[in-house]
Amino acid sequence: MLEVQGVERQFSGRGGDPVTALAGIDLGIAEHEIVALIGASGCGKSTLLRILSGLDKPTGGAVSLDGRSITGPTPEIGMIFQDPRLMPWLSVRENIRVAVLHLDKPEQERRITQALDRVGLQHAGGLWPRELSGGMAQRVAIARALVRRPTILLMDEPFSALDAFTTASLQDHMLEIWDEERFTLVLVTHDLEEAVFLADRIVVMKPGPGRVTSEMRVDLPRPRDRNSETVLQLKRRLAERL
Amino acid sequence: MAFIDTVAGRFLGGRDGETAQGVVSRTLSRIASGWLGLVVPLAILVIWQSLSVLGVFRANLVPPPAEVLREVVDLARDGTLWDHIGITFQRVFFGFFWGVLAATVLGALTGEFRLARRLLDPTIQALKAVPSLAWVPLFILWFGIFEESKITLIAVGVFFPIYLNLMSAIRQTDRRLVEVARINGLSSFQTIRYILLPGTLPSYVTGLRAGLALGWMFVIAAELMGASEGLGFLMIDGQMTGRPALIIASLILFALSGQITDKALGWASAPFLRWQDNLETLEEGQRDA
Ligand SMILES: Nc1ncnc2c1ncn2[C@@H]1O[C@H](COP(=O)(O)OP(=O)(O)OP(=O)(O)O)[C@@H](O)[C@H]1O
Ligand SMILES: [Mg+2]
Repeated sequence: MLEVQGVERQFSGRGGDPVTALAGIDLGIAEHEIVALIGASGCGKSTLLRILSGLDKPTGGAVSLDGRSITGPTPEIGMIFQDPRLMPWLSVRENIRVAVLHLDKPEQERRITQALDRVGLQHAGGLWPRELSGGMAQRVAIARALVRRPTILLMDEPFSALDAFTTASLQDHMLEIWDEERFTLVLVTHDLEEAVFLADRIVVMKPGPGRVTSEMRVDLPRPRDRNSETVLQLKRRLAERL
Repeated sequence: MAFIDTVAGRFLGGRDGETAQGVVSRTLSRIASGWLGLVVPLAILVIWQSLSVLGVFRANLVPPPAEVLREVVDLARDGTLWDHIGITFQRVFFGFFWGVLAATVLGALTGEFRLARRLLDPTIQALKAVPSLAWVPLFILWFGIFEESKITLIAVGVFFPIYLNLMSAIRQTDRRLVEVARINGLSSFQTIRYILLPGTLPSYVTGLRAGLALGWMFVIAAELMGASEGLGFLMIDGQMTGRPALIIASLILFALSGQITDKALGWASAPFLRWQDNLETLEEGQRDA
């Protein structure tokens, strides 16, 4: 269980007066749940995700995972950014290795091969990042997060830079992986369809200051059909709340 | 049109989807990369020799190429040429070594630590404003006219481009990659090893090459100002004894030495920079294929 209690985040803005990016966020996320965070630009979605990952610290409140408070990055929590963030000077395999340096060599090799398999890039291990398409690069980023076997995976608009076709196939693929690896998934998105297609629960946020204004359960069985009447209906209802 | 071009490219033995123009320019550039650079020097040589033979140049001011060559051969035969080249290389080597060492340590400190930058950088920038040759009288006073003053002067010349490139490269390290390191629990040492070093290497190498070029410039300055050996000394000797062939010969030897050491540096660093996504690697990719 990932618990967010009264999380606040203020930034010292220009000219001295602080900017409140998040004001009193409360959120509980169950094991193996998929939660989508959605809301207007600047409502603090990325800020919240960074706090969950331990990259940023709240100025008030706390985040805890199974009762232990999160104060910095931990191996149980993985993060995938909007851009793939690969090291241009490392091959695909070596980029993934960066996430498992704490393991011994044979175990590294085993896990890297497995992670590459997982994202369908078993033949791309030797390529340089500059030789990858956008979708391939994002798959490598996903493999780099999976190779650590996190119990929680955070994704900040992971497919927003990709075309619709690639996005759809990566979404399907992500659901498969989620089903087999049994992690919890928290994803930020701008895309209503993505939220409805992937999530068990959609958390709607509003800016000025950033806060949660409503939640919506999506009780549809998987696999879901993107073009079914229920999905379209949920999208419409979600749009009204934004 | 593009389609026809692609088909033509195929016909000419190009890779998938390559245009005819692509194949032709690739082939041309493969040939060119080896030999094109020699065309202009050879042309100059031919014109120079012809004009000398025709008597357009006065032989006591502009000797023909053959005489320059004979000068070099003579020097090589009695063995003094190697001594002169050796001592000049030695000076550049030591000056470069100390310059690189100081620039790397200081550049790393000021790039990485704000306190070091605030403390040291203003002074270093102020010193940079002193034209390097202006140090000569002081160095001669301090270190005498022997090796120390020359090597110090070269080291000062080498220092600045390396220092500046390294410091700014470290400061421009991609914060987003450092976050990847943090998320994956990398230690500071691992972060340096996997992100900071490779990320700064291209600028650092650029700095090294610029520094080396200045090193050659300053060794000439140092040797012109007082030396009993070295390529710079040969030039002064040629001037004193009225042998323009000797001056031109040393000039060419200087150019070759600078070229060779620069190329060596380029080759040594190339394996570490192959990942780069720029026009140079694009050209290389075409050459490999
Ligand atoms: N490092 C920072 N320093 C100062 N202010 C910041 C910083 N990061 C975020 N903010 C502010 O916090 C607020 C929320 O930003 P955040 O990036 O979390 O929004 P978001 O919901 O992810 O927006 P988007 O959908 O456009 O990505 C914004 O007003 C932003 O200006
Ligand atoms: Mg964002």
